[in-house]
Amino acid sequence: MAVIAVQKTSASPHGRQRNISWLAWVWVGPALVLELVFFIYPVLNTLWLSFFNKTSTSYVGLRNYQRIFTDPSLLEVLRNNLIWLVLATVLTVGLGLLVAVLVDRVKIERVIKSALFLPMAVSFVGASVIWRFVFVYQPPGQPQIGLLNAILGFFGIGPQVWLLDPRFNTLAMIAVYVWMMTGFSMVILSAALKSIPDEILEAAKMDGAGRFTIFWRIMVPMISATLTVVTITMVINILKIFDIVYVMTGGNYHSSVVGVEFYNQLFIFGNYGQASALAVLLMIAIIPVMYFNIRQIRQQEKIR
Amino acid sequence: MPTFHRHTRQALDTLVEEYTTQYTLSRRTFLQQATAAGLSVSAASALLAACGGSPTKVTAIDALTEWGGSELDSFNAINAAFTQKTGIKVNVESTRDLSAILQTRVRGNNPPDIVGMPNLDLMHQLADQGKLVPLDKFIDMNKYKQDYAQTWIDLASWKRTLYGVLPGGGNKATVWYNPKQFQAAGGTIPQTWDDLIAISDKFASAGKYPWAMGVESSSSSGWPAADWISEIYINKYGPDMYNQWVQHKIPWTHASIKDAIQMFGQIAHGKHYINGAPQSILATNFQDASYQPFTSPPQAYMYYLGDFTAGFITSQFKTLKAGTDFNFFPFPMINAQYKDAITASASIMVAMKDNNGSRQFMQFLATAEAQTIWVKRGGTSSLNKSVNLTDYPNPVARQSARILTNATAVQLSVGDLIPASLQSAYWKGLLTYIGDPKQLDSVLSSLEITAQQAYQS
Repeated sequence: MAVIAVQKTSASPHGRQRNISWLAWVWVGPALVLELVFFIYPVLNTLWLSFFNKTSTSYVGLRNYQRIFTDPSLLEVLRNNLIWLVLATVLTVGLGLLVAVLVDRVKIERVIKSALFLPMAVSFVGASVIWRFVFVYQPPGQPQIGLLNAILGFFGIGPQVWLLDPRFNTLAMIAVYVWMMTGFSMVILSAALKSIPDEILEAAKMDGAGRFTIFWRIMVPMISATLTVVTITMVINILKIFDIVYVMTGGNYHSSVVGVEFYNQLFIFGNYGQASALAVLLMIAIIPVMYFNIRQIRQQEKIR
Repeated sequence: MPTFHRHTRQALDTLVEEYTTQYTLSRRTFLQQATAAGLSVSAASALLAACGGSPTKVTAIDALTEWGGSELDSFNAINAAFTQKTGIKVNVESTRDLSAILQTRVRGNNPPDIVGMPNLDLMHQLADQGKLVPLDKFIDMNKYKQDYAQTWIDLASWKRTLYGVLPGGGNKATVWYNPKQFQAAGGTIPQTWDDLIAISDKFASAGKYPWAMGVESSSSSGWPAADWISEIYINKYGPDMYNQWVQHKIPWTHASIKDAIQMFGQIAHGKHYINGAPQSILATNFQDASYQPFTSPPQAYMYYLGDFTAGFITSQFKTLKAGTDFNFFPFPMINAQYKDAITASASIMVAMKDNNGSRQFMQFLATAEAQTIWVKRGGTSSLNKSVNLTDYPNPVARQSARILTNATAVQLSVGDLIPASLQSAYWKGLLTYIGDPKQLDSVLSSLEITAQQAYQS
């Protein structure tokens, strides 16, 4: 959202101040109108629809929300989103940071960075289709065309049904997401790391700090702003996840997430009330993250 | 008599709008309401003729369908014949995501002229909302009743109004096998369920895998298992109990439903029946599984799926000959009382806009002439009794069509007749059951809860 600072010149007449404020509205106007039409109105409409029934003809109060928290299949959806949230964020940001630090002073740095960033060029659907082939299962005794099961076969372990087993499928799909997005977090964190002045690191080394101490006590705090931004971006992305789950398991085998469930409720079942309730829930879940994000930006502005 | 009174004018405007855009008013109701609003009888019928009499003329119509590949080609062949006959072009949009696109278009007041229904529930919903064109206004109902058995007319109707035509269907009481390999392995065609189990055991004890089975189908995984269970159910408990199940007059926890699923489990979880069961059942695509009896050497001996399987087999193994290399035997009898009851598949097309293009198209699609075009290309059976059996491309297709038209009781698979949210939960429940048969009771009780919610609003 645009934050406009309206400057008030101290020695200007009253009329001029009002003129400038009015001008600010002109600049903000088009953006505001677009916001209203394409964001505010749909949000309010969705909120409204979530209190109605399937075909939006009769008021049902909080029934749709109750269903989300009592129906076992919908609770499972929430649980899956939580697993995604925690695991995928930690893995993408953590691995990105790790690689950024390790690759910092290596000669083939550019090659590694490009290789890691390349998966981002693939669409989520394309990546899901590719990885489906990696996870393919054939009954034991048949030639394994899935990469993972073929590798397991080398070590003499029998083939596993990765995408159909509720214990593994969410983890398998998180692996796909991590493969795609680690490059993003790595590139941004690497840039942040490079902006740490060398003097500080040298001073730390001279004071006798070990590698781990330098990393945890100096590097991480210094890039904490960037780290927060990357984490927040990842969190927002992950809460919205749909393509990977829809293509790889279709939401079956207890792997469904809110995005897939919303799609099913709206388009397949035609249940506008339930779908709206899910969308509202997702929005409510993102609000604390957005609040944190805006607070972060404001703090950045204050520093400047 | 000119009508100047404001309220009457408004009432008439609303009446005309309702009649022309929604399809919930009949001509008689229109006349009644118009005369009640103050018009004379002749003025009212003039108004009726003006708005409902001759449909708008178009030069092209939109068709929305889920069909792709060879099915789409056959549909386009029918469209080409239609364009040749009437000069009206048919623009086909094919998408697997039909429900989503249709919902969006309907909400945006831009429905297609013709659309293929993905399930009956959607057709009923749209009919209730008044978005479908009733066909009995302009279709030759006498010919329709002559050509189609009452079961099919009932299927294409809702609340006693006809909305759909059935461009094709299929017999789902078919078990596919390779006659040469089957006999070489010492198998005989089973007549009853007990025979079927006996033959399966015989193969299993000889170290072979008697059955191929695959239920994977991306987000609709599980439907082939639902087909199995529907077939078992109608054969054992008959069409009346079947209808009670579909209409939720008996709960999902009923003993008959549990029994039918457990009979299916006899095959799915039979000892040495299926290679890699139960994971391979869940992981194998239903089309890939159909190839297993026809590889050399065969990986399995029998495969149950509807008669559209013939299309999969011939496109994968181009050298196989119908009748000698692949054939089907009818689903074995379970209960002698319901011997000729079968489950079937049927595609339904409805019209959502009323113009001369969609009217003529619907009329044409229902005729034997149009349906024979597809029948000759293979891959479907026609439900139209006037289609010549000799038009079928091979004896296997002919036999299947004969069974379809002669069956005493026909029903669609249960999954296709229940509301969409329940259908999805049912399929997912079956996946759970195949993976772990001990969960059957909890699966059925949660299905009952879902059913109650699904029928609620």
